[in-house]
Amino acid sequence: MTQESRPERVVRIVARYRDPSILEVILAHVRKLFMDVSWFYAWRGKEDIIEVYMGLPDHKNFALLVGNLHKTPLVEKVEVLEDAGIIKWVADRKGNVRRLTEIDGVKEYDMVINVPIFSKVTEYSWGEKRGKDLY
Amino acid sequence: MINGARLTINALKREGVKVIFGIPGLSNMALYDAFLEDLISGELRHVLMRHEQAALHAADGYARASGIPGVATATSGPGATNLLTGLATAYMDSSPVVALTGNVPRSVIGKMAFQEADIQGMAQSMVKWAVRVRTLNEIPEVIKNAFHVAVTGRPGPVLVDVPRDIFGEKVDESAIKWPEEPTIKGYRPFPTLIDKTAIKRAAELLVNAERPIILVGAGVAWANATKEVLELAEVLQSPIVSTLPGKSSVPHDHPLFLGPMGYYGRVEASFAALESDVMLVIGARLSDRTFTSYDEMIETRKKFIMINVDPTDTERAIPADVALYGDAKVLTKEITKAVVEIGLKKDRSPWLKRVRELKEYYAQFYYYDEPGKMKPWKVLKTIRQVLPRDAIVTTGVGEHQMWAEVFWEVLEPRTFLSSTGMGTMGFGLPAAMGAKLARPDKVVVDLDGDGSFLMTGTNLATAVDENIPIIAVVFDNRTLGLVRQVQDLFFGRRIVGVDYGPSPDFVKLAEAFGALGFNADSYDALAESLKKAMKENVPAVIRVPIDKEELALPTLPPGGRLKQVIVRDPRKSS
Ligand SMILES: Cc1ncc(C[n+]2csc(CCOP(=O)(O)OP(=O)(O)O)c2C)c(N)n1
Ligand SMILES: [Mg+2]
Repeated sequence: MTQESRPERVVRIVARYRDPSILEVILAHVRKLFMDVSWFYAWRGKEDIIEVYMGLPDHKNFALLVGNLHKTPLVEKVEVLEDAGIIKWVADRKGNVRRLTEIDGVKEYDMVINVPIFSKVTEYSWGEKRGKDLY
Repeated sequence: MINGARLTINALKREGVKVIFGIPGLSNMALYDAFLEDLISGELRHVLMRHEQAALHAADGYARASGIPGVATATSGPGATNLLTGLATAYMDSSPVVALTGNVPRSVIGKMAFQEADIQGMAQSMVKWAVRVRTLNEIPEVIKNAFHVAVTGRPGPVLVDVPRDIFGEKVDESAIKWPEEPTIKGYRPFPTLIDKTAIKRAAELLVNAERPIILVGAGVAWANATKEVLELAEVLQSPIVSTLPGKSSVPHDHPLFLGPMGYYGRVEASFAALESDVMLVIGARLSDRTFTSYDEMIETRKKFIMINVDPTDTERAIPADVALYGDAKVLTKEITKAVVEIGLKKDRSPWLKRVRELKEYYAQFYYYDEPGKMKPWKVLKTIRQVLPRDAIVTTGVGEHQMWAEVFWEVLEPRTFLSSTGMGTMGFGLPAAMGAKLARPDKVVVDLDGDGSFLMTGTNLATAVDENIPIIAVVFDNRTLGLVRQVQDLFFGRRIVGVDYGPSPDFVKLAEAFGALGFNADSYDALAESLKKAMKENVPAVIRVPIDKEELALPTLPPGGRLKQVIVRDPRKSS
């Protein structure tokens, strides 16, 4: 498994979807702390669950962000993917998927997908913290 | 069949709501129509405020005085946006309030309809939860969840926005499912973790400390933990200091209490906090008003033990040596038990003597008199002597608030209500009205500034119309004193944009509103006016003339450390 450089922190948020305000609230927390978002994916899964993955350039406010997010109503848990490396895939508009090797290889309508590869997760949920090893 | 508005009112009543502060308009008037019968029967009371900000502050004052969530309502657009300052104020001081706004009908939202405002979007950064009702059927659940979120964990305001066409929809009453329990997912009140090892460690640190101190915040009042905190302090023979809002948590006549520490706090309290070797922080978030420099505190190398309902608070400012999460009442009791088991080993008399010395030394700076002038400390002392022990006071924001911080003697928990996190001018009067409705048996006094009072002073009309007998004491220095003081001391005396002219005449203003107006230009006149206002039991405004040049001391230079405290008027020494 190749690991590209990881100047960024990767988090996964599992939340309850009532309306898109859940995304606004999550991103407002990031914005308030002067942090940036490198990439962001969200999708609604079973029932009212929404899953969010985001990549954030590392920042001194990262711990504060996790603390604030983990006590946001409708957020079930925030997971920090501790050892995440990113593999970039590209899907073109015909549905062909390939590994991205150089950024020049991306054309208009190509979709870049950042896939985090990780085995260690720290989970924060409403005042509780727990580490998990996934193998 | 009942409509959405009636369903909403029934849901509020199920949550135990008795009072609603608000102003009606196109988008929430269906609610008013729905509760008319409840007003007639006396099951609900509506208080018609003169501004929605004041409605929110009143609901906030109601909550702070009673611990029961306050409720405010506003129409869409300007009514809703007027709530925002109040919501932010409640949020920063962790006060449980539920605000209900009507919005424009779903069919026109997004089309710049008349009085359309995206209040959910605007509010959501400054409330605990902002939720919009999407269908009639979810009203019972959303209201139940709103109250649950407001009061549990770290309390806070919740906004519920309802497009008004939903108020008009009808449903068969028998088809309504009333939830027994909150149904919200993705929300949990913070747990209380009884970590025996951590509790023992905390007890050992406290027992073995040479110079222990307990710092209490407003969380102690919210958790009704005053008794437990005093017990622990007595067992430990530990002095107590507080944050500014934490004043509401401790009776100031307790021999171990030193007063609030911090930016405008008492020097002996700040210095004892600095000199301590172990600090137990209970229910305080350690804001930059309390610890003006975190480095200064860390440099003292003291050990920190923190009890907080919100676990993120304990790590935000200063890393805790022992962190205990959860209910302050439960955890304080546990520590006391552990301390008693170990037994007190240290002789505390040198530390208590040192603390007494600090207290006696700084007293000389606080209580000086100037003939011909009304001194704030003496004004507050006069008021304290006249008011009953359990009287509730509120404040505006400014020098008068800082004078109240230093000199107001709180004698019962939950009797000092002030906008401390947000510092919102205009909080005092409406919060006093809310407190009075929550605790009608108590005397409620707003200690206000002339600037702050006029920000929401029109609500005096509501106090008169609705017979809410509060007393506003206006510290009339004809200036935005606290800003003036900073200009005077730290901006090279460049006084600009702060001084007022002769308007208004506060006595006439009070009378125009139908309240009693007094001009208290002596301490005796002040005492007499207060007695008269209490006896008549009607709203009153007492104007107290204060010199513009009067400073709120102690203070710090902007960005200063507690050690840099200024206790004497620096203009006099130069
Ligand atoms: C709504 C609002 N606007 C501005 C301020 C900034 N501010 C802080 S204290 C103060 C002066 C308050 O004047 P007054 O109520 O007369 O109290 P004083 O300081 O004179 O006792 C001002 C303008 C504020 N805290 N709140
Ligand atoms: Mg003033």
